[in-house]
Amino acid sequence: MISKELCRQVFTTALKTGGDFAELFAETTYYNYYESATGKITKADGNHLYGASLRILKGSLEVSGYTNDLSKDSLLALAEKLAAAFADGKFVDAAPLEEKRVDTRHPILRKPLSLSAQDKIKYLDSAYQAIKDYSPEIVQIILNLRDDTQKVLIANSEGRYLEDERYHVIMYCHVVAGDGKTTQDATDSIGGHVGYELLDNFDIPAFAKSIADRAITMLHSDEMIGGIMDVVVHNAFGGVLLHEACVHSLEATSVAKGASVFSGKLGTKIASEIVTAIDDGTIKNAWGSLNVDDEGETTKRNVLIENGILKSYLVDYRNSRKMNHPVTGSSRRQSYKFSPTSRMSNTFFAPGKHTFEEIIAKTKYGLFAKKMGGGSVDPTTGEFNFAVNEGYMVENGKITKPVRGATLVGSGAQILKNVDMIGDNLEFGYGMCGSLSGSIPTSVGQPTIRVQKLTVGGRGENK
Amino acid sequence: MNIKLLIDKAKTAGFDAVEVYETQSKGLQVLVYDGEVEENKVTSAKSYTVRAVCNDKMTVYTTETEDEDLDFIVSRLKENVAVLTTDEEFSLFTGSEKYPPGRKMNPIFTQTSLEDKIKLIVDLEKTTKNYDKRIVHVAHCRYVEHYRFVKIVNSYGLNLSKENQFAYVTVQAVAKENEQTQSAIEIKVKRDFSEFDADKIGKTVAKKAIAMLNAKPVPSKSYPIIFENRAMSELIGTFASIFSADAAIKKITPLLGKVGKTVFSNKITFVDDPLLEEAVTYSPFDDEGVASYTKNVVEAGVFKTFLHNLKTAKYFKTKSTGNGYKTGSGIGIQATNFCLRTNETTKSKEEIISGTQEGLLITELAGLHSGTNHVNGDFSAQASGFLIENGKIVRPVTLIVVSGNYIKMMNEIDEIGNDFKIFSNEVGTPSVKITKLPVSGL
Repeated sequence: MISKELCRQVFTTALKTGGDFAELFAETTYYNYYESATGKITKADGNHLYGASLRILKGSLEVSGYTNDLSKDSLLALAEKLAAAFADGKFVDAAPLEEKRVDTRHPILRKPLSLSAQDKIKYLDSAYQAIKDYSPEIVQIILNLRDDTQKVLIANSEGRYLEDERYHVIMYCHVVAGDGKTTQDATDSIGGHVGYELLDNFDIPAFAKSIADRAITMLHSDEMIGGIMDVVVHNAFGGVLLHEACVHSLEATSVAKGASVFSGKLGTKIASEIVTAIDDGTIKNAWGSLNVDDEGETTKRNVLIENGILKSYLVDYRNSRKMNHPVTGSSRRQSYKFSPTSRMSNTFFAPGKHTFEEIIAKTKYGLFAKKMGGGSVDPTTGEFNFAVNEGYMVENGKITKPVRGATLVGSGAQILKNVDMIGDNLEFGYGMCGSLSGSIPTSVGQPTIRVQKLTVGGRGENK
Repeated sequence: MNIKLLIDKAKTAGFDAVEVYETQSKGLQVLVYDGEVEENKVTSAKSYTVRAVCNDKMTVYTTETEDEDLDFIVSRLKENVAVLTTDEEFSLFTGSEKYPPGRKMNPIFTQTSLEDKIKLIVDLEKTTKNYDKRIVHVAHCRYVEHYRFVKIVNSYGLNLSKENQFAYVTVQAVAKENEQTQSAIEIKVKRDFSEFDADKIGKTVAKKAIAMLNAKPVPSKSYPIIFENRAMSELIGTFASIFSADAAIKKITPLLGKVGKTVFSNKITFVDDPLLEEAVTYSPFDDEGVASYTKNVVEAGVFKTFLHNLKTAKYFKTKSTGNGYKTGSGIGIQATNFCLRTNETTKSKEEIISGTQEGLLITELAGLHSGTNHVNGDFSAQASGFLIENGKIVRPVTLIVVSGNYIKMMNEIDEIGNDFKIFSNEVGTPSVKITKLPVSGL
């Protein structure tokens, strides 16, 4: 996209007023979107993102800009403009660029651009066919399929020059059930940093049926009656709890300024000793994985919490300068329009020793949050919330009845200490995580866990 | 990009109608920390969105490069339109008879120096920090400026353009006392640089964070709830989608089949007001080129109309209400300056509080993006605010969940405040008191 020679010229211009680091990130990304509603294909659209971002650092001060004109004149003009933000300082020229080959750790068999639109909509149809006659109470089935093919060039004044390709495929299924009086819906998704082989090797009908079944179950459930109780959070997307309640507060964006509840806590006990939490950007073909992060750093498996002790934060290059903490291969951006910063990849609680059955059997009264929805957190206070999309009451060690409308709130620091049982059934769920550097694919994962004394909200009222 | 040639090529390839929606945007973003500039970002971007119709079906392709091969674009459009099987009928617009005037751009942003913009947020950070020693951090303090030019050209001869410009500052204050941390965020959006008042914004955000210190939950039960105007605007914004005719086609709105019926308390009127003078956003026409106008969506509790774009209007055999706006890859439905108005007598927020024996004033809601069921109107949201006893605020409250059903709640309006304000999410509302809602806490 941009030659080595031009990158070098841009860096020399960018650094002439005293900046000490310059970086170019260029991308050309093709997105495809398909949607079906009640079995009819309603959308088949495409999008081509194209542009480059230049940023200059001086210490931890960042000056940046982007453009979709990648010509020499345009990039040099951008460099001039950004360099003008610094007062005259000592000029240190950029290092010669050395091209580095990125090893692909995520093999892509059926690349999105090698399939026709006709091939792709067959996946949507397979989900629809599986559940169209599932129940007369199903009133709507909305299916979405999205793929992207991203080619990036990452170069910096310290000699880095590399190209990488990223591929994502994700399918969403949204089922609405109604009985004339009220309606309930259920959603789920399957995705990866992978080609369409993901869906070839996946039981789409079973996946669709599980979602239809959940919508029907929730339609015939009671409203949650709120209060403080033990909560059993099921595996896979249940990991959103760890993601929201804890790891957002371990991202350098909040830690670097001392604003996070976990600032200055490295090496100290921040969680119950059975808790080990990991962010791993290397898992083969996983939704949140990358070969290299958006600064060109090889992704890693970062143990964040080990047996309750805080071991590492998630740190990007710029924040590593502020924090005196090594980079962790965690710098990500939605596109060239966002500045990169520390973000999660695939984040999960390591498995524990209990079985799922044991955890339920040992719970006297509480909520079993089988399927979590999304949530949010304020990293400065650690206060979080999230929705429970499929819940059941647990009474005297048995799952009794389905409940809807439950919401969990609490503080991240507290919840980590209150995890008292961890299961052996680690699985992953797929989501888009929104933060300072935009919306990016991240996996959340965990085995079934139990959290003591959590505030559960609900619309139900004691009669 | 040669737009005319692209339109010609697509027509030759068999499309009945073709449109190019062009945008050019420019922006500036400055962040300060500890009195120093920490980030300074200048941006400029273009995009071309091609919408093409063949046999009433539409496909969309967007590109950000001017040099995209026109034949490649046409081949993508052809491949995609061929797989569509929807019964919905799409069309492009031939034009409205008359358009409201465009808004004059305020040159004050371009005339103000970068130094003055930096000084604004340096001052803002300082005022916030110095307000009280319990303010331990200013987590972020940012100035953002945005300019956007839009041009729509189609094969029916439509040729329209508009521009919009605004700036905002946002600041987050973090307060700490007795091992408890509380934070507050303030966002101010303006069309004129001189309207930013660093002193006022800084003091407001600091005061808010401090007021929340030593907050704790309340016992779980139902309480009368006063949603302060900002929290109310978030609820209204979250549920604006129930007025979308697209949701009606998909049968995913609780207002399905309710046009002409009483759906809310007769104290409630909702106005979609894209031409509202006092608002930051002003939109003379929507993203399909349909002229905008002011309309009552709900009038004294009676549901008057769904909001339409061209597609939903055709489906329901009516006219577009000028609410077709780009969302994701296609044209969705949005209100612009969606305002809660009332014909009833209103009271000040203070009077409403003093008339409340026991209740909660809710100032912040979080998690509405996930704790909301748009299909039936149910919601559960993390909330914070203040406990009211005997007509007086007695203490701050945090980590509670307020739940309810939006439709039911809008039928149980107790009182409406006189503090109408338009917020950055393009929703305008006063504070509103609801008879009661279940709260989960202790």
